[in-house]
Amino acid sequence: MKRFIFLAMILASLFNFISCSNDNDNPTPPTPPVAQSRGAYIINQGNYYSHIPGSISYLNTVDSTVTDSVFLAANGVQPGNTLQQGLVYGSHFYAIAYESNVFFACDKSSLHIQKELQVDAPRAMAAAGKYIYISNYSGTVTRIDTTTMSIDGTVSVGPNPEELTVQGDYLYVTNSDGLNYTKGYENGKSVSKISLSSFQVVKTIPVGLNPTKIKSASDGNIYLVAMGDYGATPAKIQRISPDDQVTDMMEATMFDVHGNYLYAINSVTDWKTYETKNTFIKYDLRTGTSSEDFIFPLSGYPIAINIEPVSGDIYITNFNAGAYGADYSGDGYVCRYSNADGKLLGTYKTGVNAVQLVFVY
Amino acid sequence: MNLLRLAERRRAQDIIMPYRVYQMVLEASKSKLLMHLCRLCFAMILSANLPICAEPLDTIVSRIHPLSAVEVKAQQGKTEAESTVPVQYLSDLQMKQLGISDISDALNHFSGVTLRDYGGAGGIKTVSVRGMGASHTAVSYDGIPLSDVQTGQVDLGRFSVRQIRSLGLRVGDNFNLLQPARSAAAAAMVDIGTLQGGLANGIGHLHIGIEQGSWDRYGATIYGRHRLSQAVALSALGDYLYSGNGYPYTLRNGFKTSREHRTNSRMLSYHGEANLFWTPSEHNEVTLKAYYYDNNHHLPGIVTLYNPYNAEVQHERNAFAQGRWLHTRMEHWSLQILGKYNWAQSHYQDRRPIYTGGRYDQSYWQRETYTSAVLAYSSDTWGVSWASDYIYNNLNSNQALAEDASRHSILNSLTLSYTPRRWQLNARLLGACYLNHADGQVHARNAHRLSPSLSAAYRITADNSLNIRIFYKDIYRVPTFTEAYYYHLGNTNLRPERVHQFGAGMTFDRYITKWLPELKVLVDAYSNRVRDKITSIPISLYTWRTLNIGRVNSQGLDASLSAIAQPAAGHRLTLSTHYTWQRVVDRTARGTNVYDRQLAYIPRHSGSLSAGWENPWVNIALNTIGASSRWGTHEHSHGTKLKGYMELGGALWREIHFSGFSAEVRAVIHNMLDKQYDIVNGYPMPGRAYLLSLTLNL
Repeated sequence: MKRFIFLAMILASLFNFISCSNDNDNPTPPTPPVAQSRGAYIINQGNYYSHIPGSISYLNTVDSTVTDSVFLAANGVQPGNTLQQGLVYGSHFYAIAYESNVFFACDKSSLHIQKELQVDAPRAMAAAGKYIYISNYSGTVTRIDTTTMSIDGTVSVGPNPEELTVQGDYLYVTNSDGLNYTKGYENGKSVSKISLSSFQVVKTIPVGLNPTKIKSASDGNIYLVAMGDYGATPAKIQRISPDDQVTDMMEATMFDVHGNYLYAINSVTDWKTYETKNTFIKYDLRTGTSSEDFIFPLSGYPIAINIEPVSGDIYITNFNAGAYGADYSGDGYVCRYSNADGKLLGTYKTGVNAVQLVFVY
Repeated sequence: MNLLRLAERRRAQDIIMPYRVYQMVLEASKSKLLMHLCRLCFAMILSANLPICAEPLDTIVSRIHPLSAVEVKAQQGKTEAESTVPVQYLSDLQMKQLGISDISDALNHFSGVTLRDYGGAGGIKTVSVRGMGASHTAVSYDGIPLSDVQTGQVDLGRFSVRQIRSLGLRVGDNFNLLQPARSAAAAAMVDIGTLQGGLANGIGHLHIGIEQGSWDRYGATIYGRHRLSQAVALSALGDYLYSGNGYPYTLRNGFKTSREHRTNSRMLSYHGEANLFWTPSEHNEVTLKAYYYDNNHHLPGIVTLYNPYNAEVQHERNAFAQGRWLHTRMEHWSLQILGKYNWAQSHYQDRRPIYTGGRYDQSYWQRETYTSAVLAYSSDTWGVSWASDYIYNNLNSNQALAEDASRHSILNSLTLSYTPRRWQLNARLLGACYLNHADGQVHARNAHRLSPSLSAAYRITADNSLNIRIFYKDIYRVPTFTEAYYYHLGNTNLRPERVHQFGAGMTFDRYITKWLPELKVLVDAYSNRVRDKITSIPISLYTWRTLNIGRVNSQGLDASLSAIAQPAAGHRLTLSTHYTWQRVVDRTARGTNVYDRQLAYIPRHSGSLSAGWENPWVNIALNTIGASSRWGTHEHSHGTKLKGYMELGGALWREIHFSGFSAEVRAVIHNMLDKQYDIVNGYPMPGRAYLLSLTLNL
């Protein structure tokens, strides 16, 4: 099986390489001439109210092996409750746990804890220069100086900020107002634009209802998901251009960007039958065309999509099926698809609620 | 994202207590679970106005529905052994003899019961009986049901054994002819009888108890009764409890352990009530009660790594007035009229900066108007009764629930009882009709049903010491307001949840010799089937919905043995033990990862053992409770198994008589071996704790 996957990857790469060099109009993205990534840390959020702490697994993408609980093995302690995100930056791996109010700075390879900081309801991280930025669900962004590994500033943004991303000289933070859902998320619906140099909010950009995920792309734009209200207002992806103009793109609930493509999943629930249908969308950022059969069928309970930045392999994490719908307290799995043709390259076990893959080289 | 988190929370809570779920869960975020509190552990129990120790127990019926001077033929009492359905009962005296000083200890001494306990004064305590879920357990207070239409569950943690004169548990239908139709609708009923004197037992009585225990626990109870005339008596009861609850526990983080304390856990509760007993004539008896309860507590929350802080507070208030008029006529006829008005407020706050304004507020107000009339006729061998109940409930809140949801419930029951020779045969038909209304939106589906129940018992021996019994009961639980209306989760199209309850058993109860005046053995087996179970399920990654899709089958065996021995004058040994085996499994869909698996938090084996020795010097009692391992999730997910536990407790007490009054000094140790365990995953139970109490009876 491994050999087959390896062979398939080589063939896929070859195909991409040839097609790319021969035909610039071919929408298949170029394969960078570098080696496979070494692997990925899988961020397993755990299940807070079932008293299952977060954990980190390591997926070796070369030999396709998974090692469970690598953070625990390295440090003897768990990474916290509701493990929210991981980030590889410089020589470090950083992790935050929402319910535990904790931030860890670890060695990128060994995962040994080098610094533990108490933070306030951390939600997401981004990095630029010597800083790590953390959005706090209490309505702020905290800046950590990685040379001293200490908090060196905080700026207020909108209520319940979620993900944040760096584009150029600015940091963009989604303001979800997610805890105010009974009042229609009325104080959110925006992205705060923060100057990296002054660490001040310079602009608040109105976006769709309940923005959560946000990513910057190599085309200079920023893409985000406005999750809507899980009811009448559907989730959609929006684009923020370099001059801060916001455009609706498509209905979708999660996405990642890679090269000239945006890869998205749209989960739509039929409230008559209570069935949820998941559609995979591959969208060409240059032409604005999309295809919906690139990966088909999708498994039933996708959690997150992450594109491996070097190979472009598409990783989709999933819950296993439970008695009714997903099993939120059991181990899940991650599917790896070829960027070239959407073929399934492998399926690997994860921990409980695998919300993210953090690629490490 | 947050909705998913809420849904997860809801789900975890659902597993813990299906009804409370919605309320807490959804409620956003920090759970209401933790809400109620009042764990009052008590050591003292009064003695002065209790029955004489050596005498056999009063009958269950008379204890649960205290009889008065009026002779009620329809209500002829049945003991635990004589009842056609499983009935268990603890008097305050028995609790004292067995060293029980806490409502959860008492409930743990009943067979077939699974108690949910979040630990400490401040943890909610609910009871599910025979695997049916706590929403199927009704609770009555001095004979009139308590209710909560929001969550469907009544927190038993608010009751202290200091105020309880009798605690009963009935499974199935007890066929008391004077039972209101509403009480007949529940699968199981916990009956709480409070300190009451009625017109018996002298002109006046004053009882004062104070206690002090571990972790800044202070409590006081005062009870007074005064007979104004041959026909009128008044009584009043007040109860206060403060506890810091900052008990230590061992936190395990990976391979490291540390000793921590519960924080944000203090609670203060009090309750007061006044009762009037009036017997205007030989054929009439009136009792009136006014009640107020207030409980303000901080919630320590689920144990979280790296973060000992929690900022949730809960304030519960409840006031009600209830009355009962019992009229008997021409020896055979009885008429009972009940009335009640109930008001309850639940105010929850999570004081964290993640919320706009720095706090999240969640308030619910519910009101209930209840009336019941029962007309009964009984002769020596047969009886018949008709009961009609009407209940009006409404609920409003500051949450995204229905603006103002209400329900009219109309219940009628016809009961037949026939007791030829050695047989007891009972049948009841309950007709229930539920009409819903919600301001400005679709209301929950209306429902109606005829529910039969049957029971039979046969005396194998002429002296009534050996009996066999069998029963069937059809149960119909309408959705709670949270299940029907809660934001996104609720579903107004839900049908009621149905249960078929079967049971059969054998009882032995007799006087053996002077040395062994009582030996009682009860063995019951049961089988229940839950259909259209009201279950909240994830519809997508982000949304949950409540549907009628669960099916649960349960089988179980309850066995208990109790004995009283009097080896010498002034010495008495009391033993009480019970064992429960339960197989409660999901049967919804073959092939899923919960199918045929034991439901979360229900142990396969559980039991208790208590023994007391009363003597002329210092009385002593030891008791132990235990349960086998349980799972914290229906899926039996890795890492959610809870180890079995056994907890040992003990009590020493002495009663001292002075001229005109008596005093009782009591010392209790809970969890003597300092065993650490969780009943609900992530909520550690307290370790070794002491409780000292002094009781004066004047």
